[in-house]
Amino acid sequence: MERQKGWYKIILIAILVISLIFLFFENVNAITGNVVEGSTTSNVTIEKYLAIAFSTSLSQGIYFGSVDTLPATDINATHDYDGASSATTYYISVSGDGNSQVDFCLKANAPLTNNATEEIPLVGETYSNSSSSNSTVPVLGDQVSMTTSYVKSGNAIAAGSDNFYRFWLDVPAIQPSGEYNNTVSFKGVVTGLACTV
Amino acid sequence: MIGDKKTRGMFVFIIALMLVLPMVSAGVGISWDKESTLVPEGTKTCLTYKVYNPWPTESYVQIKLSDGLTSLLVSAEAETKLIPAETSSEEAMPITFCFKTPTVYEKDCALFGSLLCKQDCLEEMINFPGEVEVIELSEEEAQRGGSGGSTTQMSVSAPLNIKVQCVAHKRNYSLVYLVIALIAGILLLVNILNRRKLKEKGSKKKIKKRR
Repeated sequence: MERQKGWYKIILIAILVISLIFLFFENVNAITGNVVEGSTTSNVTIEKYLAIAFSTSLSQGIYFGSVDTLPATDINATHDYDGASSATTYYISVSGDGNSQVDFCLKANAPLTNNATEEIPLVGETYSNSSSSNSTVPVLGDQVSMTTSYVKSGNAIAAGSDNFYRFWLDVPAIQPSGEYNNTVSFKGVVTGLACTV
Repeated sequence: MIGDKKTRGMFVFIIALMLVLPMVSAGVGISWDKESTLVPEGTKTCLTYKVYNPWPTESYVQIKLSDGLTSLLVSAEAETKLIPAETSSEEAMPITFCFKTPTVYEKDCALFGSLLCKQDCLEEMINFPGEVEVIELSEEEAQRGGSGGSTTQMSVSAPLNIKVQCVAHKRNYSLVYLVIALIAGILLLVNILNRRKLKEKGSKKKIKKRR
């Protein structure tokens, strides 16, 4: 009996020791240090920066005034032709304090909507853009309808340059009277990048 | 002659006014030096972006992450930040984001689905593509409305691609060895204590018999 108990004790001690040895070797890689090698570092940091600002007219919003006769097509926004030589005063400036050309992306959050949730179809809210402006440029013939997802508008606008816009609105004959609003967003991204990732 | 002077004066005044009054509104700029980052899964990392405003009017900006990245966001500095006017790119103000990458790679676990796990990393690296967007919050926004039309909003964005790194490891049996050692240790202790008790009992009986 006494002998059996002795064996039992020895087996327990053996199990304990073997378990601890295995535990050590299981974690030995985490304990040992790495070989030290001589090396030198090589490093470069590529920094990109860009800044944009709305013209005063664009920051105030795109308004089409009061429409008295329906249907109405290509209603001019209020500042489409009020610059020098009938140029537009809607523009976005790309700061000279930047090192990247900028693409602009444009979207509307929703169609122009009134309090009763009636909508002017977004296909009727259009824009055209150009890197310069006069009485005809941006050209009405190049107009593009707004969408609710970002679409590239101005492309590769250099630092220190402007991107000019004109906006137009079509209102169908059956459009109920009321005040219609929405939000148009402009996003500047580095040239070549997608509007939404 | 007097008319000429008046006209000239008016002209100078208009030119001066045009120079003083900014032709652009407050603007917003972003500066970054990292478009992608490699982060081991389940770890926290922080990135810093800089915002600036080289225009003559101060602006309030808000930092937003694209939908694909918001789920990873752990913390971000104050959501709305004032950028003083004429802040150049060299004086750009830092804004820090912290992310915690989720556990995305499958582990092969031998016990209860979460113990004795190994990771072979045979899957392709998982990316979270997105962008950091700095939106200008115009003060005029609140004053607008009532005239019908579109309010305008501007933003600038920088791409950000978070790559989650899989950390390969073998099945770790440490827990099993630890449990076995613990059981063996406890049994050994019980055995030793029992022996002591038996010895004590035996010696007490001997003393009683002697008496």
